[in-house]
Amino acid sequence: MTKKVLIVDDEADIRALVKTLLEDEGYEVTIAKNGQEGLQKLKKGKFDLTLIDMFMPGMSGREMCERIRNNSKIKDVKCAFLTIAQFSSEGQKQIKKLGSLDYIRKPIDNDDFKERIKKMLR
Amino acid sequence: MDIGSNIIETGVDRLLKLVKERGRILLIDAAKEIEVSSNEILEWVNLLGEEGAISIEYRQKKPYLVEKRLAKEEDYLTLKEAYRKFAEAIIKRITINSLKAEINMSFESLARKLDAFGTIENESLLHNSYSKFFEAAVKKAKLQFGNEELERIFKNAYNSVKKKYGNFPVFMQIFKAVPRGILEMERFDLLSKEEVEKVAKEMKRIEIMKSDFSNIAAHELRTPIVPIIGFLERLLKSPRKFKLTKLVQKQLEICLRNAKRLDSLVDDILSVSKLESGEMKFSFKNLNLKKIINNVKADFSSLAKKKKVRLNLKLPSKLPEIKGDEQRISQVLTNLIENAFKFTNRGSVTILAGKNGRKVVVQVKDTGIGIDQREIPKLFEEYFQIAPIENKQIGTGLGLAICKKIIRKHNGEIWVESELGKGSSFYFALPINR
Repeated sequence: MTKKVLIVDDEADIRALVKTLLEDEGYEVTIAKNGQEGLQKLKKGKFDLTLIDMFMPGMSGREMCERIRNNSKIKDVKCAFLTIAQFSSEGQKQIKKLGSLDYIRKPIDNDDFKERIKKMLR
Repeated sequence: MDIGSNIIETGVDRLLKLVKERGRILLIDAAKEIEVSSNEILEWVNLLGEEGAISIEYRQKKPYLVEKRLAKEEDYLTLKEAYRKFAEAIIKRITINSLKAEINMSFESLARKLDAFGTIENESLLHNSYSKFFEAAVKKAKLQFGNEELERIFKNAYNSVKKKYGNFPVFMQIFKAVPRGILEMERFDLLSKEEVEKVAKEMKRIEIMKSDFSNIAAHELRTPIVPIIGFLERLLKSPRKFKLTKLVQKQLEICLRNAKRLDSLVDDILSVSKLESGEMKFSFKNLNLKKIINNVKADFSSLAKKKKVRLNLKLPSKLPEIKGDEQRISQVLTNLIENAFKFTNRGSVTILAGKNGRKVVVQVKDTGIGIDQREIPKLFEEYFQIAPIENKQIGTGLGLAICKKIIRKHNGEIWVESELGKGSSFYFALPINR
């Protein structure tokens, strides 16, 4: 069965890139422009993985992840972050606490990215 | 005395603690690397007006502010970093105003205490040294009010500081420049602990604001690079699928390489602030410098062709291994070669390397415009934002300052030899791994 991935990123061109890369691998991709929209889509549909941009205006990726974990309906959704920043070990601990499986640094190393997605969807 | 190896960088917090803990602070001129006399310090202090920290930074010979511990250790502490932050804060109008508000408030409380013998003009408060200020205060009290009691209190306060910290309490003069005496005034018990803490808090806020700024800037600069690199990589991965001709493929490769370079450039800007704050982490491994040199050289072949400047390589058949961070050493070499090309319009750029005692020395030699001897001491100066504006002819400030910091982290040295009109040679030496 085709795996479904939700991308939440405020940057249209980055959404387009991530979507293209995932579609190349045969996944079904839905996009959301911000955390609010992402939460709505999560509540409506069923997704195997949610990729969340860390740094978004309004609701940050971190906040969105917290909201997911605090909502009984969607709390078990698999999440991973897309991020430009490099995390310190403390920051890594923090995002683990949020139940994030991984974080993917931007610029994206395409092969590495595909590998990580595959691993998370296993 | 080798100041360089004994300098410990410090932040504002440390500085504040230090001022509270200790007494005397000496100024050391970085260009000459000697301790300056108190007369020289006096001269500087007189120059320290409204924006004293800045004038000491670039109007003078870029002195380091060094605290000599009163204990016996041969250990020096740079206050320059903290000082630079003050200077930057002053440059930025927002902070100048908030700092001013703090300062004025403190002066107000001081002024209230002085009310008994009349107002001291703002002018003297802001521009005169504290010893002068207190002398003036005492004089005024005596002349106008004949208030013996107040005169006695002030004289005692001044004398006790003099006694405790020597004839010339330098630290008082230095700190007058930016926080303008708020810290040292604590010693006169004229300023409450709360007031001192308030200033410390404000300084901390400025520091955080600065680091937030560089993080946001890095994010904003990098975001547009993400889709460029991503899509180019995708296209180049399957040239046949996307029907790329050899020419298109070659040109897209150039685009990708440069997008990646731009990305690391943004990284470098961020690394300056991380290097300075000590956040930068190095991963030391056994390195083959020959491989690194060859890789970096390859990146410059198209530039060499374009500028019609030859790029030569003169390496021995074998170089001993060194321990270092590959990415950082490549960064240093890239920077030196970039500079060489920037200032060389004919002739050649040559990379040489060899073993010298217990070190491996790498040389980047050019036949470019050369550097004025007077500029050389300034070349590796720490990054200071206004330098490029004030001193257009330097133009290398950031890169070489990073290089120096990186090489120093490797226990190495970096230096330059140059002759105007003939060319320059930049060297770095790294200890051989044993």
